[in-house]
Order: sequence, then structure tokens, then C-alpha cells
Amino acid sequence: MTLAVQGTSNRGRVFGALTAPVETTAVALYAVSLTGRGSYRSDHGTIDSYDHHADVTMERFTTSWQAVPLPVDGGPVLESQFRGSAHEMTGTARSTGEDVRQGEDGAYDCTAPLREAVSPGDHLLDVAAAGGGALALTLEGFHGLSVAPGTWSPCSRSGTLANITPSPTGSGANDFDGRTVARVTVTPAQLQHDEFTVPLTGEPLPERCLTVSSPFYCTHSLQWSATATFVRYGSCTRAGSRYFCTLDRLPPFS
Amino acid sequence: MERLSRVGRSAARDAAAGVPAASASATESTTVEPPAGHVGEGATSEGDGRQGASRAAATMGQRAFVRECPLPGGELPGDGAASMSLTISHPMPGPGRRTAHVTVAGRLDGKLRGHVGDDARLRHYDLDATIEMTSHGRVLGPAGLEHRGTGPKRSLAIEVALRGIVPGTPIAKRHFDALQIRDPGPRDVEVRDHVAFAKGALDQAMSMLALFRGSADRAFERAERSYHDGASCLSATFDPSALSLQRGEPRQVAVTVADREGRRVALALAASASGGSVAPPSDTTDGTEAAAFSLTPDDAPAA
Repeated sequence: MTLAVQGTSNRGRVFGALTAPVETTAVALYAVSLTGRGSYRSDHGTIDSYDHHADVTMERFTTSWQAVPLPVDGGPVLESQFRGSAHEMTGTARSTGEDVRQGEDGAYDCTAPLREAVSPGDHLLDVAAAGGGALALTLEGFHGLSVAPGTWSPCSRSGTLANITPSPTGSGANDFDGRTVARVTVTPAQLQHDEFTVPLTGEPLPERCLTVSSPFYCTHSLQWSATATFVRYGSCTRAGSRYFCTLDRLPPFS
Repeated sequence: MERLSRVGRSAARDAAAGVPAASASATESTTVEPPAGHVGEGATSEGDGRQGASRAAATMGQRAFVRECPLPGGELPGDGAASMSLTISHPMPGPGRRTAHVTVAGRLDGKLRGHVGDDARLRHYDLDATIEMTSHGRVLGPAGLEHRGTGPKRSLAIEVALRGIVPGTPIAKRHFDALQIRDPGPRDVEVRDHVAFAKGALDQAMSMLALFRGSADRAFERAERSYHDGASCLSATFDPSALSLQRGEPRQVAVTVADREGRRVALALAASASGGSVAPPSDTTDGTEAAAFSLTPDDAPAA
């Protein structure tokens, strides 16, 4: 960018120019996917007139995001946006409990195969700044409590029986019972490759329980491990808080 | 610094040019360069010639130098001079090998003062000049002694004050602020001699004035090319003097203006930008405060 100034007086004219280079942060555009396995266990005790226990085994789960801008020079990952996500998982979900209020059979014990596939969303997801070239990937699990109390029906809807929702940090479901975060550090050397993998394990976060209507007891356990695969499919230049990207090929998860 | 050039004509070339064989002439010119910080032109020429037993020597010179950069207030001072002299030596008839020498000389010393407007254009200039004209006829013997017949030395001094001269335009009545004859010369001469001398002196004075005025015009025009066209008298300084920008992120830049001596100059600056935007579009720097501009590079990278 060039700034030019000029002025005129009875002392003469003056022209001045200052040329300042505009830095551009070269950013590689990667799709990242997680493939791994894990488990989610929840014991809520009695909440809103029913007892509930969940035991979910994720035999295989994958999740992917279309675009993860990473600075080629290894600098910090800046807050940006990327579009679309997809995930699928297989496994079993087993819930046990007693729905006192709804007067069903009382104790229940149901097991359902966990087959879920979610198409890429159109919404924009924010990825939080992690700094130092690290990217935070999060798995969140909730156990039906985000569904309005009183409408939950055990065993009837596998999708809400026990839901594991992979998502980037900070976007997640409205509420969650347990969440783990795995931090992936991408090195400049790795960014020399169009594709590379990073093994990672979820780090348990402090337990969190929702207060619905009364004090209750709950425990959660969400464990998982996965392999993150980064596939380069474009490049971007940073312009302030925005990225202008050029795709070398179609996003692998579009 | 002076630059010399000599233009001479040999007898052979004179013959080829049809000049009588008994004649010869030579001219030497010197260019005078202006002092530091000034512009203008100056030259002197000396020439001599002879034809038969008669000799003539003439000198002409003029210079006009003005400051290249205006002073505070837009004043552009300068000075200059012009001179002419002609001496003719001619053998007198009769015995004694006497020679008549007639010298006519004039000298102009002038002061110039230009006035520059806020648009950095020369409005006009003033010229004050003292012109002295002299003539002297002498009869010298072979040993260089003066003989009878030597006339009185006559002189005339004219002081001229011209105001509001615009280069390249004719001098008109309105330009004359003063015109005084300071030294009318001796009184013991015939009226007709006075008339003849005054007429010749005025002609020569006006010639020198025109010569000087032409040099002054060119000097002021050259100065204007420097301080206006070339913008070489003032310089802008940016603080910081170098910076890197991030797209979409504004940065502040301070600008001051100084003259060649490094003194701050008050000036309204208009700003423009390529590859981004600048705000405000103009600001003023004075003797202490710098003009301040905010630069914001375009979001979109250059295509």
C-alpha cells in the first residue's frame, strides 16, 4: 500500500510517498477428519422423576470438517471459520433406568444399535483460537438432557438415547454432559505434505452436570482416541479476520 | 565556477569570409555559475578587433541570480548586474601620432525580490536597479600622455524601481515605482552635447535594463521549476519511516514537512492512497504538530 501526501504553500510544493508492504499470511486449507473409537457412560441418578443410566460404546466414529486453515509458517492458528461438518458412528447404546413420572413399566433396559450419520451442515462453525499452531478438536456427549424434560422417552429414539456429537471447540450442542478435548499440534514440517495424520486422545474435562429442577447426582465418562487425518485441498491468504481461499480440488467431504 | 570559451577568427578565415585582410577579431566568453542555493544565469564576454589602424574593444556582461527556494512569507530575493563598455581607438590625422580614445560604459546593479503565492506560483517580482552611464574621450600621445582635446568625463546615474513584474510580460507604466536621475553630469558642456549624451546613455541604459530583466525572468522561472514543478525545496518525513501493514488493520502515520535547512514548515497536506484507504483526506502540520493519517490496507489481496 502506498500513502502519498502533497501540499502547496508559498514555500513551495511537497510530494511524499510511503510504501508499506502488506503482509499476507499464507494459509493452507486442510480438511481434517477423525477416525477412532470411544465410550460414553452416564449415570444421572434421578432427574425430573426418572432414573437414567447410559452406556454407549462407539465402535467406530468418524467426523470431518471441510476447511481448517493452518498457517504455513507454523504461526498461531487464528480465529477463522470453516464450513460444514459430517460425522457418523457405529456402536451400541444401552440405557437403563426407571421412568417414575411417566408411569411406564418402571424399570427399563433397552439396547439399540448406534447408527448415525449426519450430513454436512450449511451453518458456519467457529473454531477457537488455540495458539501455537494447535487446533482443538472436541467430542461432546450428552444424554438427552438437552431435550426438554418430560418429552424424553427412553428406548424410543436412539438418536437421543445417547448422543455423541463431534464438533469443533465452542460450537457444540446446546448443552452437554461430558466433553473431551484433544489438542492437535501441527508442525511446519507436517504442513509440507498434502496429507498427514496425527494420533490423539481425548483429554477429559471437568465433569459437568445440568441442574434441571432439583439437585441431582451424576457422573460422566467420555473416553476416546482417534487418528486425525489432514488433507490439503487449497490455500488461502489472510485479510484481517477473513481468508480468501483458492481450492486446488474439491473438498473431500463436500 | 567559470566556464571559458573563446571564439576567434583567423586572418585566413576572415579572408575566406570576405573580411578585408587588415582586419581581425576575437571574442572570449565566460559563464558565471550561481552561488549555492541560487539559480540563474550569468556570462561575460570580451571582444576586440581592429581594422587597419583602428582598434575597438568591447565587454558585455550580465547576471541575475535568485534564491532557489522561497523564504518564509514566500519571498524570493536575488540580485544581479549588467555591464557594457566600448572603447574605440582611432589614429588622429596630422603629426604627433596622436590617438583618440573614446570610451562609453554602463553598469547596472540590481536587486530582485520575488513574491510566491500560496499556490507555490510566482506572483510577480520587484526590481530595483541603479544604472550608471559614463562616456569619456581622450587624446593620447605615443607615450600614453593625454593631450589637449581630451573632453570632460560625462556620467549619468539612473535609479529605477519596478514593481509587480510578471515574467514574460511587457513592462508597462504601472510597473514604474520610481525613476530618478541622480547624476546629470557636468554643466560646462554645450546643450547639444548633453542631448547627445543623454540620448545615447538612455538608450544604453534601457538596453541594459532589458538585458537584466530578461535574465531575471529566466532566473525566477528556473526557481519556480525547482520549488513548484520539481518540489525540491520541501521534503516530507514519515513516522514511522517504514512499516508493514496487516490487511484490514489500520496504522497511524505522522507526517512532517521541512525545508532544506531542516526547519519545520507549516503546511496543509492532502493524502491519497493506493491499495487501501487513508483518513482523514487532509491534515495540517505546523511547527510542532505533525499531520496524522490512518492507513488501512484493502481487505482483498491484489488480483
